[in-house]
Amino acid sequence: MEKRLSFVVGDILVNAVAGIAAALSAQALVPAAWHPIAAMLLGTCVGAVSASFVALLFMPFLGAFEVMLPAMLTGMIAGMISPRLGNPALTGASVGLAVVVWVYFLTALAGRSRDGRSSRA
Amino acid sequence: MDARAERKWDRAAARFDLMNGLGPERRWRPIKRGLFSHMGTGKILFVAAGSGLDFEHFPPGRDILGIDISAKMLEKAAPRAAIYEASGGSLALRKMDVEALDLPDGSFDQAFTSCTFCSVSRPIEGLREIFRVLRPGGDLCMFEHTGSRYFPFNLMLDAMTPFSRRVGPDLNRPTVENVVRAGFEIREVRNHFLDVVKTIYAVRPAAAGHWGGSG
Repeated sequence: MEKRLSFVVGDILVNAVAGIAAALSAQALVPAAWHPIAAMLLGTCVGAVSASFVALLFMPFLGAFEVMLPAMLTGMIAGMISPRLGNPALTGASVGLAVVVWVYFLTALAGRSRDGRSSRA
Repeated sequence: MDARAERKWDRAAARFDLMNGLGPERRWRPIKRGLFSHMGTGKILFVAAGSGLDFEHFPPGRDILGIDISAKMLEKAAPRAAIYEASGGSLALRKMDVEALDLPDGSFDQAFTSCTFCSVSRPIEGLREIFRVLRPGGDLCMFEHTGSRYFPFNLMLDAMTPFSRRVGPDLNRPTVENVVRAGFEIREVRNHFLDVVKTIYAVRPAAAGHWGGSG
């Protein structure tokens, strides 16, 4: 699990920015009159695309998978829920922080195995 | 020789260091240093040398053959190999496809890979070739990224792979399973990011047959 402070802070920053960008994009692009399910689906897509652009900006400094996967998940969740919630900045940043915590938890859980059987791949 | 893979990596050579030499390299430096610290004093095969970004992590004074399917990658790697050799080691570079190694059976003590088997077209064939050229009891040490068993990352990696494959690697390979299918015994799998970025330590069993594996 990543323990270097610069990367930990970087991961939080990337996901907060990705979440805010996704939430703002979804609120701007998802029509309020749409059926909630359709709005969530479109918001998820818009959020994933917005967050991917943010991730691409940060990847040269912070890594590849470590940036792209959490940022995309942050974007998908923030884009999905933000059109129904107020304050996109708070929603997006909160989702980003939660995703970072979740990813670090899963990474610690994945840990190591003697024979590889605890890992799919 | 896999001509399609060769063309893809020849095209990728120009931007390879830009994409991989900064953030990913900084992030993975301690992991790679740990992996390559296992390089011993025997003959070592380094599969998919790429542009030579990993050479700086090699311990000095080792006897290494680096291979790659792309001549343009090897052109970029050559100056880095010269820097390594100036430190007293031997690092020869040869254009070769891991799926058809032009090397004798049992001629290497160790094999190392670094983000290699995300890109080999027929990974089990490539791993069987490494198995063949390793002596019985020889080590296979890998730094690889693979698919994930964690939702929704497994679906995300599956969804991105058709696009990533056009310009670079697959993102959802079951590399640990492939290593086992090729006949190796897994000694340790260490996950560094989710269960995606990992180091794999395996060995060619001392008493195995020619291919060893059942797959």
